[in-house]
Amino acid sequence: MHTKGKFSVRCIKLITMRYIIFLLLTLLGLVGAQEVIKFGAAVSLTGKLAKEGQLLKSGYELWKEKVNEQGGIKVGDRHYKVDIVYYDDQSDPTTTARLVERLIVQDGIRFILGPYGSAQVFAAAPIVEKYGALMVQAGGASSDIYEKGYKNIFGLYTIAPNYGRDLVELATTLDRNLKTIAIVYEKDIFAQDAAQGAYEHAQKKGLKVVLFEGYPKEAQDLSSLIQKVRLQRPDIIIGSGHFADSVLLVKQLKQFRVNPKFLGLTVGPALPAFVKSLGEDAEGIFGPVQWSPALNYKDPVFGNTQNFVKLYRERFKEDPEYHVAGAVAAGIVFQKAIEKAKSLEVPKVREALTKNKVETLFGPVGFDSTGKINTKPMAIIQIQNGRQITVYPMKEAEPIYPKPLWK
Amino acid sequence: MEIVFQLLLDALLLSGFYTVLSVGFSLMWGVTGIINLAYGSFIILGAYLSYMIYMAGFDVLLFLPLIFILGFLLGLFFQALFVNRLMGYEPFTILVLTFGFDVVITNLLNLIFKADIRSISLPFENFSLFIADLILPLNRLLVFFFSLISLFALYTFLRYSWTGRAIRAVSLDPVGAQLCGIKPKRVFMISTGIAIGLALFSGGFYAMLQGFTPFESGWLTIRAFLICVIAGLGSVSGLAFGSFILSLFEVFSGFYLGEDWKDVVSLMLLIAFLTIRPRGLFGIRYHEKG
Amino acid sequence: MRKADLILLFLILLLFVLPLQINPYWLRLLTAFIFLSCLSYSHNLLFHFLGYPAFGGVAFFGFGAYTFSILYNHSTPLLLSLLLGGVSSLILSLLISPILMRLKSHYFAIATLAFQLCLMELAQNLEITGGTKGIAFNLPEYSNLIAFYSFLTLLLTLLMLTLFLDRSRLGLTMKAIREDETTALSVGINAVLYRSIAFMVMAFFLGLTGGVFSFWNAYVDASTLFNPMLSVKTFFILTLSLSLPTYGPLLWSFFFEMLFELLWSKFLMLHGLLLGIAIVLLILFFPRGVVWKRS
Repeated sequence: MHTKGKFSVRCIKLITMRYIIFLLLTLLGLVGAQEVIKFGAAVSLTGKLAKEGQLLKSGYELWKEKVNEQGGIKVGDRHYKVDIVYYDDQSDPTTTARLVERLIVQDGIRFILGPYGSAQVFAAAPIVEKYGALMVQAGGASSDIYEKGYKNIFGLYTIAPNYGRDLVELATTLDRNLKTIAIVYEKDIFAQDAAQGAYEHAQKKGLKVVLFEGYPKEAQDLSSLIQKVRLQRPDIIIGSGHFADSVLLVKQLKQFRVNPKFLGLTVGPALPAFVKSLGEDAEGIFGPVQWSPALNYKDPVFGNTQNFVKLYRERFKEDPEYHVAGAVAAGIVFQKAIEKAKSLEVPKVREALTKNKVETLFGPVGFDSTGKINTKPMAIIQIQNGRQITVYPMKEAEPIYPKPLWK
Repeated sequence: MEIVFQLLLDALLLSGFYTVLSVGFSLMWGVTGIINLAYGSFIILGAYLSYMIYMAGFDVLLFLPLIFILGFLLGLFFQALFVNRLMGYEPFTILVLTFGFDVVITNLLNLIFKADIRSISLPFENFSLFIADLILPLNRLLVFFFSLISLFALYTFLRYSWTGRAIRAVSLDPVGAQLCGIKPKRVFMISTGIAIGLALFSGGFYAMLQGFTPFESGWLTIRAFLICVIAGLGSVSGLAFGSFILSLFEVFSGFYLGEDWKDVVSLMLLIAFLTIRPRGLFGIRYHEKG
Repeated sequence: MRKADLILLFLILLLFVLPLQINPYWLRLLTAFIFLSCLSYSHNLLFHFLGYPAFGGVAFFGFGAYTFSILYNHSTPLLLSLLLGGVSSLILSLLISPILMRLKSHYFAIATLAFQLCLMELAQNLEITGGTKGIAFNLPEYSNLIAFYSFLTLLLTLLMLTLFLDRSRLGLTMKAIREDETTALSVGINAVLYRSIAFMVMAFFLGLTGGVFSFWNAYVDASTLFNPMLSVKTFFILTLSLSLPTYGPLLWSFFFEMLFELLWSKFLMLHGLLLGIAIVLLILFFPRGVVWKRS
């Protein structure tokens, strides 16, 4: 009828208009489109390693924004915008492997920004290697990553045994009379590696290792273990794990009133969330860091470290810590390698990665033949008045020793 | 050695929770003959519900009875809409159904709450009672205390109330019960209701004891199953004993062998019981299907 | 051989030629489908013919996978490692058979599952299996092709075995045991012997499948190799195939894998949920398995 006729004519008009607009936009899009390099990242946005994974993502994003602000990555005389595709691996290494495969096979991405967690990196590496993609990671420190002969994996973290080793070294420097040490560790590729480093150094220093025991990854209750620690009354306690279990460990040590003279945790104290979760219970705890905002290196994208720290402070109202800085550096390292190689082809970029030494806000970055970084030292911080203060090897302030008793 | 006393105490406190955990599972298995593989996910569901109540600022303990009622209704629905339909087929089919539900509930929770670790922090959670040199973490003591109360309530209900007796009748002899005028289908619905209600209820306790994620349902179901296998079906006191045995094994193997061997030992215990005494130690009815 | 069988075998032989043309994404999909079929047919040897659901069959899959992985990473040649993977599972099944064979089907199912989980925990604790970090291989991209063909060979073998058993007197004997064990026993059939042998053959094939799987994935760990989800997927397919035991697993594996992959790529966050809903719906509407037209 009348209305129907009008309606259908109107319909046709609307559709045609929409189609024309769509065509126009597409054309405009094509004309104005800048070319894009896609990077891929499967990170733990949820799950046990969520805190660390999210820090990684924010680091990648910070790099992406800054680089695009500056015109993108230069390849020869063309400029490419950076785009990053993220997937959440839910802190599960098997998922990481599948997602990285998806990034490469389905999404066609060749440049992979690493996941968080040595286990996750260890799972992703064979996939990247198999398909001839490239990965730069600032999320895994376990030395096992570098022992398989992979050619396409590059890591920015100083390896795990140093975490444990440096903590023990600091403890013995603070007090030569310390006798006993207990080392508990998460049964995880990184944590075990770090714990091993602590163990070996403890023996070298003549300490008596009264306990060297692991707990399962998913453990939400460490009571039995803490009981054992309590029985031994060790002078030094080293807890090797990740953020979530560090918090759990501290809570239960307090619950069982275990008071060591020196408490060091491999991952946790460096994160702002650590102090937030524990409040004054975090005081006096030591933690190794891959980087500290107190340092100052030259940087090709941000100018220098302090510029980056300032920018971060303004934006997030807190100091950046090493997970973020490492992630930013991973992006920078990739960028510089692509620019040096003047190409987007994996073998050429890979070549540039192996040969190049770049000073970044994270420190000087240069790789050995296995893809391991060999140019950057580690440091140790201590929580003092709710802030992370660098105490080793350079001192922002004097370390507090012995550790204050639980309140 | 004094540590043995501490471990025994730990096991005792833990067993209270484990008993509440397994009672629902046992009820459902004993009455309807169904091994509910989704049981663990209902527990986790209860944990998340309590967590939401906690985040909203309310006292979780006050709301637990409500959570139980919610679970009861859920259980009624579950039985009526899904399980009743498949009662006549191969028992295997229901197992697949319940497993499907486990997957659905787990993933639903993961979607809503993500995979982060949650827990309920009681105001006094980091404190403990110290008696002699023994440590009694307050949160565990609380859960133990409330577990005892709920178990006592359940026991009284099953023993003295009309519905409770009907439930026991059906579990012992469905045909005989029918002759007495009891409608088995209705009893099934009520027992499943109570079972799921208990599952959600124990989830609240679980949230108070430790951190949890959506993916822990499998182990909770296994524990409930294991306790029922050890204890046998049909008696609440048997379950209490079975729970104590499991918690003894867990606590002692956790201490002497290491936390990571706890689960291996539990599983070997399960295999041992299944092969040597599937009826359990106190089984009143050897429930066999198929 | 019936006409349907010939057509099927022709299609499968076609599969042999296909992978050389297609891109890695489809290759992966096809391989996943063939892998799932291998799992299903192996389990079916015990389930369809003898009525024993080995819920924990994946225990042998994982065990064989680890044997393969450890050997291969220590420079044992590929074929030998695979074979030894299968053989080790066979030996394992031989060892635990006396304990498990006395159980009734329900308890047998759960005991095998408990065994599978037990192995998972053990694998996570021991150093030789890589503990929680798992085992990684340094492999080239064409390893995907090798894996595909290996799975295909396994599937063909299993299919032929299944078809043979279905038509043979041996298979008839087995089905008799499944239908009514007491009567079978009274006619002098040694039920336990048949069950044990089927159990071992199943374990052998699962062990081989495990080895190929490790090679295909390039990274394996305990939670992947002993994953209860694999058991669920397998038995879900077998339940759906109850009314069409010889071709059902093939068809349902295909359908399931395509569905799973579709869900995973389009609804990454939702796929787990949708999968669970699919399982619930399918079992509600087809509790006896889907009835095929001809039967």
